[in-house]
Amino acid sequence: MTNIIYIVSLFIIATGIICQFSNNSISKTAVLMMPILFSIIVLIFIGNIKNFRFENIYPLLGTGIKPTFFTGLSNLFAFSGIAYLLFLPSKLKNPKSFKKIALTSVILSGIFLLFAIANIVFLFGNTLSHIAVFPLYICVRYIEFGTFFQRLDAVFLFLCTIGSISFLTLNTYLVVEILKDIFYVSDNRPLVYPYLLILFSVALTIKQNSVLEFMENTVSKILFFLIVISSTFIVLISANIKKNKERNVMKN
Amino acid sequence: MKELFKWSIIIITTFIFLNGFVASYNAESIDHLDYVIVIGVDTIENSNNFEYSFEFANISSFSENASAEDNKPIINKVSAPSITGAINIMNSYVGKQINLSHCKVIVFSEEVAKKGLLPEVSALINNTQIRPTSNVLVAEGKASDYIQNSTSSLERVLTKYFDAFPNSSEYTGYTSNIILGELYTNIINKNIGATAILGRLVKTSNKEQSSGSGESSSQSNSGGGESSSDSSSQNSQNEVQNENNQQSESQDTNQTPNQDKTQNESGHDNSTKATSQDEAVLEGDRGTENIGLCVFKDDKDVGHLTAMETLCYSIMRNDVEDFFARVDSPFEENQKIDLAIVTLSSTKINVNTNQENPIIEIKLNITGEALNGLDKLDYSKTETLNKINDSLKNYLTNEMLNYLNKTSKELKVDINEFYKSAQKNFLSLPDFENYNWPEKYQNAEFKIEINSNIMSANLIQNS
Repeated sequence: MTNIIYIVSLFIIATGIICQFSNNSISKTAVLMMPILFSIIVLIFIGNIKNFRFENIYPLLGTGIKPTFFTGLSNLFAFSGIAYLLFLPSKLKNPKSFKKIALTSVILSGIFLLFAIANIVFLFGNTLSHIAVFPLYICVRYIEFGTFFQRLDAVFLFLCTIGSISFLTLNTYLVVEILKDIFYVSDNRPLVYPYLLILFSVALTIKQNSVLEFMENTVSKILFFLIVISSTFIVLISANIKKNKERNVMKN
Repeated sequence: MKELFKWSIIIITTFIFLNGFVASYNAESIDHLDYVIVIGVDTIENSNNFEYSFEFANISSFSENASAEDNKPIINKVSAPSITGAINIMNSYVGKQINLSHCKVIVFSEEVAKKGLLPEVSALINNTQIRPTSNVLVAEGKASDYIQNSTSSLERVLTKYFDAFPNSSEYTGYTSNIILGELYTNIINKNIGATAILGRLVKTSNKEQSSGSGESSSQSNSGGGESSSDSSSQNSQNEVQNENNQQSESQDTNQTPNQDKTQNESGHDNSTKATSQDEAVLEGDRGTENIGLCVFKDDKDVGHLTAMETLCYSIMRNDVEDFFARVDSPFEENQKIDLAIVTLSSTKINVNTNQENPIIEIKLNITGEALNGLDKLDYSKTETLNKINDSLKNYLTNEMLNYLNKTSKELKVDINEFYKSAQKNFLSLPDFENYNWPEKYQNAEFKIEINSNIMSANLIQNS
C-alpha cells in the first residue's frame, strides 16, 4: 500500500503550485475539470444502464414520510457547495451576473447529484449499506464497454483525484483570502504554504475512517446549517432591515 | 528567496515522482504479478478450513508459438480458514504477488454452497481487485475438479474461454450470466433468493478425471517435493499443494478432441431436464458443462434449476433474446414441431397485493418461426399457425407455471425479483416490510398471458 504521506503530499503540492499562480489559474483549473467530471458522471450512468433496475426507485417514499421529509432535511447538506457563492460577488468583474452564475451553479450541482444518486439507487437499491467501498467507484467497476474497455475505474479514480485537487485549491484560495482580510496582508501568497502545512498535518493526524465519517456526517452538517443556511437568512433579513431604514431616512 | 522556493518545490516533486515510479521495479511491477483467472472453494473433510484453488494465467500460452504443454492449466491449492488467509499463503508460496483483478470466475463446490456463501462473497466483494462482474458458479462435486477440466480445444486462451462461457445464456437461456455483485446484493436482500451458475463435469470426463486427479495427486506428492498434500495434517496447518501442469496423460490420450456428441437420440428433451451428473447428456473434449442454476435462500444452496426452468427464469428476467422450443404437434400425435422463438418486448410483470395472497401476472410477447414440418403442413393458412400458436402457449404456460410453483412452493424463494413490482403498491419500506413478502410469496398465485405470433420459416416462398 502507498504511504499516506505520499498521497497527501501529492494533493498539497499540486494545490500549492496552483495557488502560487494568479487567481485565474484556479478558475481555469475548475473550468477545465468541470466538463470532464460531468462527462464521467454521465458516462457512468450510460455505461451502467444495462445493469439498472428502475424498479429500485420504489417504494416512492423510501423509509417513510417522516424520515424522508423531516429527519432527511439534513441531507440538504449535499448542496453545501452553495456556500462558495457567498464569497463570489466581490470577486466578479461584473457583479450583476451573480444571479445567473448562482442559478447555473445550483442547477449544475443538482444535475451532478441526480446522476450520482440515480447511478447508486438504480444499481443497488437499498442494499448498499453493507459494502465498505465508495459506492460510485463500485458503479464504475460494473461498466464494461465490450471486451475492449473493461477497466474504467482507474480512469475514474484519476479524474476524481484531479477534481479533488481543483476543489482543494478553491478551498485554499478562499481560506487564504479570509486570512488576508483578517490580518491586513497585501499579498495572500505567503499565507498559502503555512495553511497547506497545517492542512497536511491535520490530514495525517486522522487515522480512522470513523473520524472522517463523524466530520462529514455530523460536524459538516451542523456547520452547513449554522453557517450557510442561517447566515444567509440573517444576512438577507439584516440587509432588508437596513434597506428599509435607508428608505425611511430618504423619505424623511 | 524566490529561487530557493522554486528549487525546493522542484526537488520535493522530483523526490515524490521518483518514489512513485520506483514502484514499477518492486513487487507491484507487472513482471512480478501472477494473475489469477479462477478461484475455486472446496470443503475439507473433518476440518473448518476450506481448500482454495487458484488457476493462474499462463502468459506463455498467449503467444502464437505456444505448444500444447503451455495450454495446460496452472492450478495451485491451499488450505486456509478464509479467502484472505488463502491469498496470503498463496502470495508467499508462488513468490510473485498474486493479482485478482483479472479473476473471471469464482467456483464454489456444492458443499460450500450448502454451508453458506456470505462470508466468502462478502470478503470478495470488498476486495478492490476482484471485479463485481466476475461470474459465480456452483459446481456439483469438487470445485477443483471443475476448474481442472474447464478447458476446451476450441478456445485455448484461458481468459477468453472464461470470458465467453456465460454468453450462451443470451441465445439458449439454459444458463444465466450471474455475477458476483448481483449474487451479493441478492444474498443480503431478505425479500429474494439468489442464484449462481450451475456447473458440472460431463459424464465421461468425470470418470476419467476421478482416476486422473488421483494419479496427478500422487505424482505431485512423490515428485518434486515442492509441496505436500497430507490430508491428515490439513486440520492443523495451512498447506499448499502444487498441481501445476497436472492434467493426466491418460486423459489426454483417451479423449478424442473436437468430438462433441449427444448420447441420446432425443437429446434435446433430455438435455433440458439435466440437473445432475447422472443425467448429463454431453460428451466431448470440454470436461465441463454449465447448464441450470443453483438457487440460494439467504446464502445457502436450497436447490437447483434444470435447463428448462433456467430458460423460464431467463425469459422473465428478459435475459434471453431468442431460444428454441419443441412443442407437441397439434396435427399428429407423438410428433413434435421445433420452433425458433424471439422475444418481441420485455416481459411485463404486475403484482396485485390487494388480496390476501399476491397475484402475479406475467405477460410475454413473442414471435417465432417453425423449423420443421414444412413438408406436411401449409403454414400460409391462419388456422395452421393458430393451432401451433396454441400449442406453444400451452407448452410455455405449463413450463413456466411448473417453474414458478417450484420456486414459490418448493424452494420458497422469489428469485425473479417479483418483490420489486410488488413494492410499487406500497408507499414506504416499512409498509412493505409489514406485508411480509417472503412469506406471502410462498402462497402466490400466478397468471401467465402469452401473446405469440408464429410464422413459417419459408412463408415467402410458399406464397
